Amino acid sequence: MDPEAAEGIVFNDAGPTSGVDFVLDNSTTDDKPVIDSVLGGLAAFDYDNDGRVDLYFTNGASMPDFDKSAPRFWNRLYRNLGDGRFEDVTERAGVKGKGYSFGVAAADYDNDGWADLYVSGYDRNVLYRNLGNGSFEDRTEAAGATGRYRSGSGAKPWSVAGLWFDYDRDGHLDLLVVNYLDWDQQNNRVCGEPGRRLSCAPDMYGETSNILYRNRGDGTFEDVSQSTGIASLAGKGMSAASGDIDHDGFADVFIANDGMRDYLLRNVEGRRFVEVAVELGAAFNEDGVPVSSMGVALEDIDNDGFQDIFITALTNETFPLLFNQEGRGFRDTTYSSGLGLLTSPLSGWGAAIADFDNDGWKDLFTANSHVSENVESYRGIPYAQPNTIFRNNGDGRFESAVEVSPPAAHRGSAVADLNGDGRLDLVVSAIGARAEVLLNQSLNENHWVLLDLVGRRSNRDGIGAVVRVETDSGTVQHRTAASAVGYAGSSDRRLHFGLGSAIRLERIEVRWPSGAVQTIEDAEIDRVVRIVEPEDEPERQ
Amino acid sequence: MIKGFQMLFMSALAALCPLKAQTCTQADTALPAVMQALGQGNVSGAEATVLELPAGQRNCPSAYLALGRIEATRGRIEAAARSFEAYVRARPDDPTGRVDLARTQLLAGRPAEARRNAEAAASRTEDPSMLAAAAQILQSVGAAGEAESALLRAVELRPEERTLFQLGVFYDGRQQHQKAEAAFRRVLHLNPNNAQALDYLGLSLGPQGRMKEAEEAFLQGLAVNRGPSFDAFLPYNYARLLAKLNRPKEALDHLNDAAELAPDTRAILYERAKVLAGLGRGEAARSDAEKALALADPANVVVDSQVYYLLVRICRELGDAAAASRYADRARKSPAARNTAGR
Repeated sequence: MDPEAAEGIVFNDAGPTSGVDFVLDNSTTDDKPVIDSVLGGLAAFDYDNDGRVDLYFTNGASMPDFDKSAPRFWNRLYRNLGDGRFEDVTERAGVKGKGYSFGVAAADYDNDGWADLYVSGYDRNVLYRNLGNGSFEDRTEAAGATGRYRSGSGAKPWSVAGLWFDYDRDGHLDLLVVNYLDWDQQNNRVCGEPGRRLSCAPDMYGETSNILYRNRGDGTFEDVSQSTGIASLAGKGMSAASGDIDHDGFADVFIANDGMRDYLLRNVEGRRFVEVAVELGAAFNEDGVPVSSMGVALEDIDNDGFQDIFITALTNETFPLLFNQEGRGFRDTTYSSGLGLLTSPLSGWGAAIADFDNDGWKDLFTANSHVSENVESYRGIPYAQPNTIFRNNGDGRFESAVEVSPPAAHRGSAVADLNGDGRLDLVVSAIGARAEVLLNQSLNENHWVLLDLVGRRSNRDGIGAVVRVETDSGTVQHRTAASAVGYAGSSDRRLHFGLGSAIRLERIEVRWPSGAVQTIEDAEIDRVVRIVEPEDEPERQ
Repeated sequence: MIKGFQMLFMSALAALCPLKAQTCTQADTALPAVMQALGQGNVSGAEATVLELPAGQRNCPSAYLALGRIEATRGRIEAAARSFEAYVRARPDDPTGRVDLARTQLLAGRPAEARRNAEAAASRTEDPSMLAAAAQILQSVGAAGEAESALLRAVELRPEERTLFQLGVFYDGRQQHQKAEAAFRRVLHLNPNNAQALDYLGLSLGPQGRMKEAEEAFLQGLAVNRGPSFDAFLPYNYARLLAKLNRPKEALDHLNDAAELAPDTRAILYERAKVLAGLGRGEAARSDAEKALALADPANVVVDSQVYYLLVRICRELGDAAAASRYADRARKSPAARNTAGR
């Protein structure tokens, strides 16, 4: 896995011929209300189990009535036809959405083998259960996952993102709904001058608390926000990611808050959460200042077995990169890694930690654009910005930013191998422009493997499983199964590993959320490897 | 010597009596003397000059202007405002009185009135220094567009070092780094040895990703850092750039210099603590950070929560879990630093 061996990273937009003609429509008005700038989450997932990754885009609605009936506002599902083209199956699948949508979380919450969707929105959240016949049914009310507060007025807060994870390790995926600002059309503020309004900063609005739904395993959910401590922690959440930060076997949660300190929720034995971001050095940037955290990705960047944190934020704030010090705390390496200088001019939304050149070191991706359409006339900062990949040198440093698309008002993103060539591709939404389907065409001889986990006692998607891969050259990598990645979206849940010049996998070790540990020897490379959790695995942690 | 109540009486009179058309030669002549006395800190002398005017002359506009400035120097803002209001009523087209009035209104917490008078002043003058003064007030009340227009007009009328510097600082404060750079380069064209302008130039180049040029600007600034443009924070700002460039040892050297130039400055000790922590010198870092905590920082360059947050990390890495926990608790309870970078 010599980083020098890897060739340059190259992406090409598949363009209109891909059949993906989705345009993110924020229904903006002259006053630029804050709601119109933060939409655009999308999901890359296989809804029809044909082995090909499909795409689901969330979309806005008309204002001020949040009506989604016009086709230009529909959320859209595109089926991957496998020949480089996608087919719009939104109507057939029944997933055009309701109200003003922001994010989507894809996972098989009912363990029936078909990936479902939770769409978060301003006025409506929707739980779409995949029926397995190419269509979905709205189970929001029946499942009790409306996104409304259980206590008090029962109000529906503005939800931006969702996170599927199994916090209590009972084999059923639970759902964290990430809520943003206490905004409505009555308390709307305007900022900037007439004719060139700005999106108001989040400090002009109050905080909201998030909602945690526990999956009862019978298709319904119980709001456990109060009993787990989630409700007591108000914030301005835009996205969330989960991982076992301290290796205690329980999935912790990081919540990216806009303009205030981020939260790191330590999972106390699947019963409650304690906020420890300040203690562990993950609350602020390295100057102790809150940034406009928008997207977040958790993965092991330095191959030490512990998940690190990568956050996107606004221009001049840098994108914080926090290295996990073996669960004891985080070391802010934003500048020492070289990332600070590279990201300072950028504003990022979607974020991903993935190995785009298959050299065995995970790189960073960000989907970029400033939040305010008119920012350039005030500060000279471009609103439309190119998307970038920051290549991991393998020594903890990122010394170059590769622009992988022209400037646009990019928002959400998802990572998946769309064409089965072993190279990770990207899909990015952009306000007022066609979504980009960026196919990875990097030329190198590096090898790869894609692990498709199937949980039995664990949740069927294996979300939360920690996988350790060891190659014949002795190199070791780790990944944690997740679907919520970056900004208000989901990437393909399957685990991709770039293997560099390694030609054999010595060992794959899977630590399932159930506690089972499974080892596979001599797995084949350059292919998808399906790993099914044993029903009666004796070895437990 | 004039007693306070006499001054108050005169101010009240100024507010009440309509100004009459009259010859005000003596009052006009006395005004420079009043200003000179105030410039020398001789407030009593200034007051005496006004009181020595014949009674009829004390109702002259210049007398009100002089009185307003005396009151303002005394810190009696409302009284000063009344005198300036009287002056402006008499000479509505004189931008000087408008600027004086706007300044006192700003101090009195009346930003809308301050803005109105500053805008009026800016629209009635071709004097660059008056435009610059009006711009400062406009900037303070959040009228950034008007402030920028006034400053641009000032430098167009007379591109002098001071006004260009003010324009650069204006852009720096609004994070318009390219425009700030252009203004500071014009300052340096007029005076290549302006260390403060070189400092600001470095600060405006850094966020543009032009690190090498930023470093050159700081180094040039350090080489000429003396005289009227001496800048005690230049080594500090250069050190922050070096820290971002991952050159912590050099950053530490310059922070040591900065600590000598501006001792007992919280921002410098905080920054040095950060660099020391990064170098693994935990005890020294803790010492600096705890000293920083004890120092006042009225401008809130580094607020308490930032220092507490740093101390959490330092103490955690030193293995002092109890102290880390204590500081974490304080970091949570203290108001967070305001993020001005992103929006």
